[in-house]
Amino acid sequence: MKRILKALLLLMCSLVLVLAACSNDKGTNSNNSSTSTGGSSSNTSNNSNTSNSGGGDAKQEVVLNIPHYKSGENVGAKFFLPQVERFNQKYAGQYKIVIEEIPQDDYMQKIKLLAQQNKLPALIEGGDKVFMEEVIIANNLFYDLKPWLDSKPEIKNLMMEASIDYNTTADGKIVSMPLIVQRPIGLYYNKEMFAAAGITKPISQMTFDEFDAALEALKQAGYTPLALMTGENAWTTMLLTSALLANEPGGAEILNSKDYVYDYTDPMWIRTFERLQKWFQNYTTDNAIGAVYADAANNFLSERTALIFNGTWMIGDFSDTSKTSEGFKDKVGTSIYPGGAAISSSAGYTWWIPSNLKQEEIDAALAFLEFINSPEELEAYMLAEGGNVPKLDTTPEFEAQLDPILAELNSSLQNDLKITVQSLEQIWPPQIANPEFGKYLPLLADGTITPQKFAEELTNMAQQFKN
Amino acid sequence: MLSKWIRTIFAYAVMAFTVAISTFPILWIIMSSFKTNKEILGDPFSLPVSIDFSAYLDVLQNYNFATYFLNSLMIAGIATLLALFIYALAAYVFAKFDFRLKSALYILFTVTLLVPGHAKAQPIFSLIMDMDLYDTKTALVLVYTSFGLALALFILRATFMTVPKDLDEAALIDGAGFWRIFWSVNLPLVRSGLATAGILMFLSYWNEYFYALILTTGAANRTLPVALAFFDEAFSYNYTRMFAALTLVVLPGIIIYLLVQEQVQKSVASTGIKG
Amino acid sequence: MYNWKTKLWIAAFLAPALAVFVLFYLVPIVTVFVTGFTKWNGFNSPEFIGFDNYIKLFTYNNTFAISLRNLFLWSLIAATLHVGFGTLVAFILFKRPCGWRLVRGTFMIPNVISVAAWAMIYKFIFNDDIGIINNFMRNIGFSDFHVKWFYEMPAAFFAVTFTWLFYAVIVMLIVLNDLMAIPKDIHEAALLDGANEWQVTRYINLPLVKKAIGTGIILSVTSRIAMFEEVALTTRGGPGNETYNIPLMLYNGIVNSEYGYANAAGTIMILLGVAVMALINRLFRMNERLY
Repeated sequence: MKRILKALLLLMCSLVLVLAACSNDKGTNSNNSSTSTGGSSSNTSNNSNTSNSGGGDAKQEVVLNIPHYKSGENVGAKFFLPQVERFNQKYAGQYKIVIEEIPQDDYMQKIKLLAQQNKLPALIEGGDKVFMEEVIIANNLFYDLKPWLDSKPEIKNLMMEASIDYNTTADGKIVSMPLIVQRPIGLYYNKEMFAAAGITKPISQMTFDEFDAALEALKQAGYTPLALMTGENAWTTMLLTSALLANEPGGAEILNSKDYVYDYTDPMWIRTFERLQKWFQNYTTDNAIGAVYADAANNFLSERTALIFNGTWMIGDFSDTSKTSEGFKDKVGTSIYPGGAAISSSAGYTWWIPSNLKQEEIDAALAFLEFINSPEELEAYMLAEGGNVPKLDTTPEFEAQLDPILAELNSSLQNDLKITVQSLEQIWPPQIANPEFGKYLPLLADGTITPQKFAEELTNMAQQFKN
Repeated sequence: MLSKWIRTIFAYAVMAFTVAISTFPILWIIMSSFKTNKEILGDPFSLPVSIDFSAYLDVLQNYNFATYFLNSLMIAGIATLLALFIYALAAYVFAKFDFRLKSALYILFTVTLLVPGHAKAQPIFSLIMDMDLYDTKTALVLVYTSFGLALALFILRATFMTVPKDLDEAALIDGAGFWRIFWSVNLPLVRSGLATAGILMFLSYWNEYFYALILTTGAANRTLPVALAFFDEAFSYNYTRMFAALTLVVLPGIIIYLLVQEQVQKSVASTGIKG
Repeated sequence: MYNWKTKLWIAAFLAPALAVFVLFYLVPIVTVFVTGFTKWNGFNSPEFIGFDNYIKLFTYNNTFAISLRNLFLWSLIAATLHVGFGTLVAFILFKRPCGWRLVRGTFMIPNVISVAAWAMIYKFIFNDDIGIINNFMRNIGFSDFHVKWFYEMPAAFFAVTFTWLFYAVIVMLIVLNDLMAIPKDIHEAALLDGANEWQVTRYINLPLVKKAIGTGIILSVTSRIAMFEEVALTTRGGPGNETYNIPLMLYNGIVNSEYGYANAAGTIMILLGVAVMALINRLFRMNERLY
């Protein structure tokens, strides 16, 4: 006993010594936007840092190190990386943006960690509601964009009102760039397979019962109808479920709620899950369970399924011969969902800038935001990833270059749109969107749990960390 | 006799089983890395049609593999050396001297073995943040050094105890000071203990995943195990490249092991006795 | 005892190790323990909430119960099958049959590569499309064999178990070493007395390696308590929450910025580890002099 007490005493003393030694470090820590002080020369920091070029009077190039998930093999990199390059070329010698690769699943978590340590990068894209409201906005960690936007009417006037509202705080500051491009999400289908199955009615004009019958027809004709998945954030499945819910009475309101929804036990949810279960059991591929986005995409691209619920960024894949066969693109049709539902939203945070930057870094970041919202870049974006800008008059070149599939989606929108909703991912707490929904899907799909139980389990999980 | 025969067959069956389950997974991955995606999807058991290194070249050239490899090497190496030094000092004192808090301290150090590394994740994360070392190799070096505390102490203390006291006394008579006796007399004689502890620690640092994951972010300081997770997303449908990446990540560890095989066997077993 | 200069040296030699201990063990463990009683999101200061975290951990839903169930089952399997297999291999290799060095060498390989890599390799082995297991089953006649190993129960539980079940090289080496340390005279005497091999094994060797087996059990069971990568990189705790364990709950806490909750889970892990060591020590009567 006595020995242990002595041990504790010794430890207390050493603890005090250690703390005394360490406290020096803390003083130099906060708000560090220069290269880190770790000592080893191979450190990198996630902050923007200024690199010095050559001699005395030469203007220094401002370099921004930005971690982002639209890099590497991520589907968003195809457009984003060249865009960054174009920016770098335009501002060569003045500003430079260096993208650090990070997987999509980890992006938000890293941003949260960096925010904790006051080491946010100069540009951040997105943020979940709770984090933005309780941490960033509450502690004023963002750079107010309002003054800058007010000075740029050509940009501000293009922005959608609803999105400006969403991004404006109670005291009139603008947190992140309001949206200019509206990108509805629909589905793609294989026209050949649909023809072979004798389906003639446009999907956007069908009810879900009719859609159900169409799926059965496809199956009878020997095709697997749906490309579903349960891995990662169960993206295609999630879109499908959103469309289902949108067609239930009361579903559209829920899908458009401004706050997170934590309860999924209402009958409309249960009916949705029932349908989902039936489709998982009958109308999708064997490898849907456990499939990740790449598997689902591959199923559609290699013509193993007739349909995939996905957004416009996939269009580039249809002519990519490393992923699909020659001429596949001609077989692809697109549409919004049965019941005239389309998923689109202006609610969400997009690009924002942290508040602790040096002036030249802010200028660089703002230059980037201005660049990507210039008419040429907007058109390039729409050509590559679809969408439309309600307030922009597009040039004739744009119309001519517009991908026929995008044109088809636009016309489907114009003719048949009845309801616009957000996707489930936007009203679910982040944990449910990924990974809980995907983790419970296999149990629902193989019948281990009923749709009722599925709803209960998810509700339970959603409320666990509700604040 | 029949029963002896059965026993022999049983023994060899177990041995074959052991070799199979230890090597087959890796061999399968290596073999598959030479097949095209189509071949892999077609028949997992077939031999590759041709030995095609293009996936390897692709991974090596385009995915910063060299950086990750060097990071792992540097971090594991420096952490091992640092740990060996710090714990040799402490172990020496535990082995050769008596002092008031000796057993109390020894108990405390032993108890650290029971603490699962992941349990301390959040405080260590905060500590690294407070020291402003997030996303640095230094952070990992320090954290890894701490992992070896109990193990290295055990091994080194036991080894120091085998150095005869007479040598120390002789050196003392010759006028050697405390440090000299440690550095010039004892240390050279505990080479095997140092090698043992060093190898064990190096291997565990080389393979560490969890802390490397939460303490680094950019590619510049990433280590091999974490790079694997990134490859997983990057290559999700391209099995050929994924397998090539897996092989490249796994192979250095195996090669290092094969080089130091004998020593590893002895060291792992000896810790069992002490602990 | 010693002059003051020597004492100074002793202190100096101990200091670095002590600093490491305090910084990386003492402070974290105390933090983990104390903040387990607070609500803390990492930004604002911790707020004392008593046992709320623990109550939430235990009772919020069945996740903790499932984690305990999994831990219990996995520990049981570890202590019996895993350690048993390691011991079996050790006894077999003890006889130095032809090729024993090869077995010893290759058995070590899975431990030499990282757990993360190993989990990923197994993810591919159990993959339905391209994995060995399912294709093998389909080849030998079960043409409809499409078990989604990591996505259905009870397959997921077994799949996760299999990633570590037979890989008992550490146990094997510890036991083998102890076996080789048994003085040969004992064996010779026993054989002279007419004992056959089985009796030598059962009555002499086994008891003499009791301590090694006990160590093996402690090591493998504490590994089960702390097992993270094998679950996180394969099933992520699914399907549903059927393969959850405590480290995963801790990780959940961190990801959701509920550090108090995470540290409560951490405290439980530490206590379980201590309990296991005490229990096995007692069972196997392995008390050892510590200095």
